[in-house]
Amino acid sequence: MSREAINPELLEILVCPICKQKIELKGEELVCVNCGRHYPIINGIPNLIPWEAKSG
Amino acid sequence: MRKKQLEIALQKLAAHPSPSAELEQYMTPGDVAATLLHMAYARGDIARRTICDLGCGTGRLAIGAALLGAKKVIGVDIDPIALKIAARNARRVGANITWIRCDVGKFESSGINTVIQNPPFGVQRRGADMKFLHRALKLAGVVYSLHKATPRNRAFIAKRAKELDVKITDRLELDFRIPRQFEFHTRDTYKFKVDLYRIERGDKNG
Repeated sequence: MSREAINPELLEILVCPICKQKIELKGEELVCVNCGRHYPIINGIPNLIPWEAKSG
Repeated sequence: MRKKQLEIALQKLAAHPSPSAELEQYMTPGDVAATLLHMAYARGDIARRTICDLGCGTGRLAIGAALLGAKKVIGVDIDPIALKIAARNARRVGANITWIRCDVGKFESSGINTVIQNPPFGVQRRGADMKFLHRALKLAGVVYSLHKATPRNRAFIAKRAKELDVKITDRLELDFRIPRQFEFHTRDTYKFKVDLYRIERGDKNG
């Protein structure tokens, strides 16, 4: 399975589903700049399911 | 891309190997997807716009939007298997789409212009279709959505539109054919009527 990079332009319109603030790419995860929750990226697909996020 | 070409391209995309009855996972028929996408394109809601397909499944509507020249496309679904196939389908046709795993009712974004969706019809889980419609109208100023064409549904959606202060600009009745795929299906194909809605929020240009 090839890993695809997340388009940086898309990060501009994706927000944290919990606090609705910006999220940034940090390594293999998306991290909310406000609450610090970590959302994993699995096979190139971010998982933004709130109850599966790790708290920051 | 002409409508018939689009329909043929979408029909070739891979299907879900084990669709879930509870999530009402069936593919949007190619002709219905092509009609929705061409209407959206003709209204200026696809080209150079940011599009989101809610409950994208294996990605037919999202991929179609990308093929018609959308600026950005996001496909959202709860099912990781559906998303894996969607990503593979997109790669095969060279469509650049971001797939996101999320519960549609929880998905948040800023900057989406148009939502295109074929939500569950709410047969297995009552109200699932309205959950999608509410979310879509929160995310975007223009929504294209497919709903079962029954008098009760029509009255309900018209009432909700009034309450939410949104405008149904179009309602088009279409034939929807799905092959037998669940255990409780007793016929080889099912044919019923759906309504394709175009709904606009009052502040869509604001």
